[in-house]
Amino acid sequence: MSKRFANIEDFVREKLSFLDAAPSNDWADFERKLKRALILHRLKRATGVIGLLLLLFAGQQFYNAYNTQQDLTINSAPKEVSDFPDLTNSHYSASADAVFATTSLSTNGPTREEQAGNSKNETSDLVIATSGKKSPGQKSIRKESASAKAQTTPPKTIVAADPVLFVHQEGIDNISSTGLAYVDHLLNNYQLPIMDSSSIVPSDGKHFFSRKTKKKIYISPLQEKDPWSYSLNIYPNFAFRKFSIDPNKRARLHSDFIDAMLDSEASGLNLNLGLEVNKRIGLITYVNTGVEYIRNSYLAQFDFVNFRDANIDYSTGEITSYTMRKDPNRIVFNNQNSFHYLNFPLSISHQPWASENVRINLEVGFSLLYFLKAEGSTIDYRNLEIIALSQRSYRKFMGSSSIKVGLQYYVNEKLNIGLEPTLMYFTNSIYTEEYPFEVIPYSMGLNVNLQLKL
Amino acid sequence: MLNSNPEHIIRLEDLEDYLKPKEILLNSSEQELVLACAKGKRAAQKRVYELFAGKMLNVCRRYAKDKDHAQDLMHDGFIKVFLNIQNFKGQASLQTWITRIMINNSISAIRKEVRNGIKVKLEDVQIAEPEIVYFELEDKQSLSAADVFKQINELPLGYKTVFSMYVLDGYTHREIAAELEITEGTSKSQLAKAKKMLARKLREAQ
Repeated sequence: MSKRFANIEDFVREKLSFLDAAPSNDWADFERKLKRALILHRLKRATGVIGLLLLLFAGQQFYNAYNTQQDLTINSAPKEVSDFPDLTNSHYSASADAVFATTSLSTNGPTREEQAGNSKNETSDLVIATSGKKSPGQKSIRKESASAKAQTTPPKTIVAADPVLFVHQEGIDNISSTGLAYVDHLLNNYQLPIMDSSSIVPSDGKHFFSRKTKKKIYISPLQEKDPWSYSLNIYPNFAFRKFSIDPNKRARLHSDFIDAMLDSEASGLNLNLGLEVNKRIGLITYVNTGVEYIRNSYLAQFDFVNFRDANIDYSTGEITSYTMRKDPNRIVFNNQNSFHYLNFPLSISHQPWASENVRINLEVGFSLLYFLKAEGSTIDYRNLEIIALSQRSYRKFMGSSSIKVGLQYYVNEKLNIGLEPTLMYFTNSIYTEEYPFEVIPYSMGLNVNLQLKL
Repeated sequence: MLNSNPEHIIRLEDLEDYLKPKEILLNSSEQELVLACAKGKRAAQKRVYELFAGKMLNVCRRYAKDKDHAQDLMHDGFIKVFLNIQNFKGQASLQTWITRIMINNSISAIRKEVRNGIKVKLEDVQIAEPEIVYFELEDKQSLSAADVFKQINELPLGYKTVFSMYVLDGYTHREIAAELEITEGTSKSQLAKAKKMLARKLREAQ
């Protein structure tokens, strides 16, 4: 029995519903691909997590560096010394342990002078700085005084600016020579704490007595000694950029040209030469600026078929219709094009880890690109004719911000080689508003940096 | 006061398209397979692959240039299936879900070639209504499903893709235009030409 179909769609649907599915026996092939894909998938996720952790770590390092800077600034001011006006000028320790030792000495220092100079005086002033605990010196003095059966009045405590506590002891009468001798003995045998200036951990007034220890920062011997440094940078980089069609300007674009254009300028090799000025603002933190010459070069490759000619309304610049060509025209065009810029960067870099020759460098910053010229030729996106790049109009300035996470190898004090994956965000496109393509504003690049210190 | 203007009355039947699809309960073995696949159990993945690979190869064949290409597309599709199977919530059957992934994967793989292959003419762009083509075919025994499938596969890539999407996979012209980044007019034109060419081929093959 035959069945009539008025519609080929129904016919095909019904026929294909009986299509046999051949059993598959290529699981082994597929399993290999699946394993590879799973590894890649995990690798991508791990890279994402590592990237995130690296960013968090960098943020923490910046925060610590900022705090350290603040501490150094505060402690270098003379007002801190005035916290101990009567105690000591001989040394000024900031570590908590050193503070206790110094305080003991300071306590005893003036006491001895008082006792020696005014041994016949009935009053002796003991000025003890403490953080609430009794210092060993204080305890000893009291004990000795008691054993000498000296008449003492209860100590009067004067609380000065927190946390320094002044104990003012007065009314000591008839201090025996044994007691004084013991005090002298204590003072004479006191050993000054041996301190290495590099071990000083600065702290502001609030943390003066805290036992917070800060991680020691490794400073490579190859690190710049002078806070200001100047260098010549040569770094080629390969940047990946993506174009998309601006939907509002779709009518300006020849339809046969879309794919060809999207492929032609997607990536390019940059050659950058720059004079960089660095100012060290922390132990391992720098501000960088300078001027760079950038040559962005790419191979314009077009290979596509033009089936129709565009009819352009030149008053609006839009394509209104197409006229079919009798013979499709295959357009093959290759040309090395380049754009030239001057770049003025401003960035902050931080080196959270370093060995003698290797440093990890984290950098964030902004830059202003000044367009110099464009060289080469391309295909016009409306009439598909070959035009010189210089005929197009470009914006003079383009802004960008960037994040770099990289590794620098210091060959010696004068030369280092860096490998820095860089993510850039462009605030605007170099093309003017008439251009029917939008550049996706992010670009990924791999900088290979050769830096010569001047 | 309520507005009694009929234009503002909302009828339930008008909302049918907006209602959430009913969940289709998978049978227990399918559910177990999905869970095991989500845990990365290789045996379960193998079972799913063996269950659906044949059908999916046919789906991919409709979009691919040749059999090897179809197999590559199917493998890529299954990799996506296994990487995303934890997102499968059971709103459709597992086969429907996998088929949709295969179609999307195939279309994105061939989109550019299809667009380049479609030779757009001015009248195609201006076309407003679909060209109506009448076919009269008899379901003769001489034409098997494999024969019809073969004839579809021999259509030019642009015709084949639009025909498959519209007739076999239920895409609208608007969806086809969006997926392939062509105009709706081009999609309609391609479909009309595909049907014309397929009808001729099928008549010759009978």
